[in-house]
Amino acid sequence: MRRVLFILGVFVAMVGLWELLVWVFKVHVLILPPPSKVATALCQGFTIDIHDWSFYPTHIVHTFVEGIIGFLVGGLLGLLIGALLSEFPLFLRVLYPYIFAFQALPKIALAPLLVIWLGIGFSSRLALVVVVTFFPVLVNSISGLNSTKSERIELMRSLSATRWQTFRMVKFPSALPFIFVGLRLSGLLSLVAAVVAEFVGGSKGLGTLLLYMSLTMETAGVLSIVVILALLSIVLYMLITYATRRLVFWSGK
Amino acid sequence: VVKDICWRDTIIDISKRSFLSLAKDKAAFSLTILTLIMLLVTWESICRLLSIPVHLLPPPSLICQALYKGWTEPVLAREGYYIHTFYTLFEALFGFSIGSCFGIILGTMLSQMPTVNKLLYPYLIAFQATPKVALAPLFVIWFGFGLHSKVLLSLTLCFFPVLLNSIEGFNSVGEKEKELMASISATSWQTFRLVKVPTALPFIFAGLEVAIIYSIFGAIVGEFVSAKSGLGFLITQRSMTLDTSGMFAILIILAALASGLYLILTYIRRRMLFWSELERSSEAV
Repeated sequence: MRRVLFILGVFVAMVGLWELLVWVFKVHVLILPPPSKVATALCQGFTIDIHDWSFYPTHIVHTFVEGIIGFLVGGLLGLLIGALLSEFPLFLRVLYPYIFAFQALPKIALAPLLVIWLGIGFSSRLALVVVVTFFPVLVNSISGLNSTKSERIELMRSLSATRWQTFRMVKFPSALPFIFVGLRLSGLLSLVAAVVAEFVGGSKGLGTLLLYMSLTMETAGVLSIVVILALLSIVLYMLITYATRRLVFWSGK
Repeated sequence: VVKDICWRDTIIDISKRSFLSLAKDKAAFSLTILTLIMLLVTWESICRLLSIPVHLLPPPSLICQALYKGWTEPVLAREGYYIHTFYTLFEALFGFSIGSCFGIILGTMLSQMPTVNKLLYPYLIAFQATPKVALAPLFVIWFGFGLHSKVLLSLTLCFFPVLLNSIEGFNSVGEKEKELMASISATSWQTFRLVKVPTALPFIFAGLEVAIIYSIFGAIVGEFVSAKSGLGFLITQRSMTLDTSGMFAILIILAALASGLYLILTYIRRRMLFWSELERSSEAV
């Protein structure tokens, strides 16, 4: 409890210092607005008319839905293909260099290409999120499934378990901690990908709003969106961490 | 183990099998090449037989042409790749070096001050979780359309994984080791140099491996938002003119750059940390 208070104290102190410094040095609002201005912009975004273009909740929902759906699809695909690749090691050995190259490639660079293929609508942004969230889950599933202790697999074999049974009862559970690490990373990346996709081509969403506000030099607005994005991803992070703790409570930690 | 890989994110735990050992895997390697050739041939023939519009899916031959053409331009030509590759690489590496230096230094300091560390840690996690690319437009407002804003973006992206991993690494020093050093009355500097740094190094390297990929990511996003040169700029410019084969060519360059940088880093890690247990256990995988 005391620690929580201390941590909150640090927060208040930092915000106070920021406000104070801005006032003392008379920093221009366009360069660095004080926290009070950011808070005002935040309130304004939520209280203006619903039909106004910059009404925050519509953009938040848009970005969040993009991120979540993309994350679910990408994560599921990553898990499935990861399972297939680890069950058929020859494929993994053959495809490994490609996976490596793709993983190292900054996948957001695909955004303009996806726009050409799928248009500037929802689908191209969704596709980017899927591509970005796919790889961490894929790689972590493969390494998780491959790191099953060989004694356990031998035990299953000695019980003449089928391949599916071994997978379901031994390999998959022991890979779960790894898979969740992948899911957590993907969850965070999903919002990043959604925002970048909206930078590249979009008419809605927090990324578009961010770019628009930076062009009109509404620095306070930009910062308020950064705050929203930070809160969103922290919530997402905590949700996934919570799910991890509940679902793989039996793992080492 | 899970804790250790948690910031290893983007890259590759399967790369624990070193790239070299995979190249030695002759059978798989030849199959890899074979699949590549087959893929390219099918792609080329599908494009030609179904006469798919070039701006939708260019055949590999056109992509190779675009790739080749860009490198044959004069070095300073804006249509060539040299300038843009140099810009992106410079932004990424500059941001990477400064960001990871800061990360290592600050992480070392924080881990030596447990109380401060405890207070700040939740914020560090929060910052790590925040999509820092959202700062890109802000950096443009602050530092203009030039190099600075991109360097700063990749610096910010690189900083946090390295910082968190350094803290994690220094905190993972075992009590037994510390007690041993205390019992032979080692100075705190000796303990730091002989025990703490070697324990932390594998973690720091894991952070660096993530950071090097993030640095290119940062440079590209920065160039998407606003730029006059760089591969990210070139790719958006080409997307406006529907020069899809040119875009593919840039993607290939980017993949080569990123995996090249990553491989250099893993090579350094292998040379420096040959003694580490993590390293040895990964050899055994």
